[in-house]
Amino acid sequence: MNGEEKKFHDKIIYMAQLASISFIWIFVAGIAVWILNLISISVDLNDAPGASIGISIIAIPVFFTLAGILTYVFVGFHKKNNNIKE
Amino acid sequence: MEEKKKTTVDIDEALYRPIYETGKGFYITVGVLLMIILFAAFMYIRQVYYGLGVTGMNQPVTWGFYIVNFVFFIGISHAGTLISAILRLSKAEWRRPITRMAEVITAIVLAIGGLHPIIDLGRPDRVLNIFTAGRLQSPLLWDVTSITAYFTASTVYLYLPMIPDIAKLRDRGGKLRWFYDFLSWGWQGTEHQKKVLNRAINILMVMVIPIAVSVHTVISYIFSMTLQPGWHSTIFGPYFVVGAIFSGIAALLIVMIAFRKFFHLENYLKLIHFRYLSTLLLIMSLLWFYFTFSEYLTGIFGAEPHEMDVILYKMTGPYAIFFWGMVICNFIIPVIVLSFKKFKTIKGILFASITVVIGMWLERLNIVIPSLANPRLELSTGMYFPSLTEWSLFIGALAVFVLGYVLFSKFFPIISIWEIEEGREESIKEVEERVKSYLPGPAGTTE
Repeated sequence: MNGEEKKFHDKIIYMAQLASISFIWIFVAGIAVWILNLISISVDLNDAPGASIGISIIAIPVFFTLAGILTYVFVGFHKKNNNIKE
Repeated sequence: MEEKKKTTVDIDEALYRPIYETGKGFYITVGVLLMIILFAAFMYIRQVYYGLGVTGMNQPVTWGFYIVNFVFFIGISHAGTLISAILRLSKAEWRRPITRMAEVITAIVLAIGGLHPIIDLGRPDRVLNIFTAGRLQSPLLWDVTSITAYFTASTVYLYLPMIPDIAKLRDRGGKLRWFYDFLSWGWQGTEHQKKVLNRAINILMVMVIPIAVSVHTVISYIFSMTLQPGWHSTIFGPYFVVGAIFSGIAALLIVMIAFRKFFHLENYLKLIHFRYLSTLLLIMSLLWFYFTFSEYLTGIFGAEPHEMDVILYKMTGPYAIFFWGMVICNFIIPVIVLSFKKFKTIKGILFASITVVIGMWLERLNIVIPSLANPRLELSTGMYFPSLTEWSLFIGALAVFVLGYVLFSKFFPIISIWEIEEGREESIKEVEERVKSYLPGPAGTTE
C-alpha cells in the first residue's frame, strides 16, 4: 500500500468508526424517545405515570452514560493520535 | 534477557494460533452446529405458521420451556460481566486469563435469552406493540429496559478491553487487517490512550455491577409481583441473583475447561484458577441452599392451602423428580465434590459444574411450571409436556451459544493478551507493594 492509498484507507476507516459512534448515539436517543413516549401515554391515560417516570429517571441516564463512555474513549484515542490530520 | 523475552513471545503464540490456523475440526463443528440451528429455525417457522398449538403449552400451564430458558439463559449471563467486574474491582490478579471468556458468555447468552420472550409469542410481530403501546409500569417492560441496558453495557465492557488485542491483530496484518483496523479505533498503545482506556474500564466495571444485579432482580419481579402461590415472595430478587451468579460461575468453568482442552491453554488456565473459581462455586452453592431452604420453610410453616398445593406438587407430586434432582445437582453433588481437595481436580470441577448448570435449569423449571399447574380457579391440576418444537428450539439455542463462542474465538483471542503481558510486567511489583501496605508498619503509621 503506497502513501496515497494508505491515506485513503485510513480516511475510510475513520469515517466508518465515526459512523459507528453516531449509530450508538442514534440507538441511545431512540431508547430515550421510546421511554418518553411511554411516559406520555401513561400521563394521557392517567395510568400510574409516577412509576413510568421513576423507571425513566434510572434507565435514560444509564444509556447516555454508556454512549458517553464510548465517545470519551474514541475521542481520547484520536486526540493525540489523529493520523488522518497528519 | 533476550532469551526470556523470546520465551514469553513463544508462549503467547498459543493465543493467536486458533485465529490463524483453521483445522478440520472447526469446519465440522460449525457445520454440525449450523445444521442444528437450521432445524431449530425450521421448527420455529412452523410454530409461527401453525401457532402455539404445536407447543406443549395449554391451559392452565401457559408458560413452558421458552420462559424457563429465558430465565435460565439470562441467569447464565451473570457469568461474565458481573464476575469479571467483581474480580477486576477487587484487583484479583488471577482474573487475567478468565475475564474475557466470562464477558463473551454474557454477550452471547444475553442475546439468546432476550429472544426467548419473542419466541414465546404466538404472533412475534406483536412485539412491536411495546413501542407504541407499552406500559412502563409493567414488570415485563422493566425487563425489556434492563436487559437492553445490560446487553449494551456488557457489549461495551467486552469491547473496550479488547481494543489493545485487536490492535495487535491489526499490526500482524493478514486478510482481515481492515476489520481489525476498524475495530482498534486507532490504538497505538501510547500512555495517553492507556490512561483513557483504563479510566473507561474503571467506570464501566463499577457501573455494570448494579446493572447486572438489577437485571435478575427485575426478572424475578415477573413472578413475585403476581399474587400467585409459589411466586409471590419477597426474597425472589436476591434468590434469583444468587442463582444467576451460581449458574454463571458453573457455565464459565465448563467453557474454561473446554477451551483449555481444545486450544491447549494449560499454560494459561491453571489448576489454581479452577480451584479459586470452584471455591466461589461452593460458596454460591451454600448460599443457594440457604435461600431455597428459607423460601420453602416459610411456605410450609405458613401452610396456606394454595401455597401447599404448589409445594406438594414439587416435593411429592409429579415434579418431585425435578425438585429433588435440583437439590442433588445444586447442593449435594457440588458440596461433596468441592469440599474435598482430592475431588477438586479438573474432572471433579467439570462434573460439579455440569450438575450445577443442569440443577439451575431444573430450578427455573420448578419455579415456572408448578405454580401455573395448580390454578386457584376451578380448573383441574395441569401437567406440562414440552413438544418436539420446544426441545428443538432449546437445543438450537444451545447450538447458537456454542457457535457464537467458536466464531468469536476464530476472530479474537479468547484470553486477553495485553492483560497477561501487563500482569507479567507490572503486577508482580504492584502486588508486592500492595501486600506490604496491608502489613502493620511502624507504630503510629495509619496509611
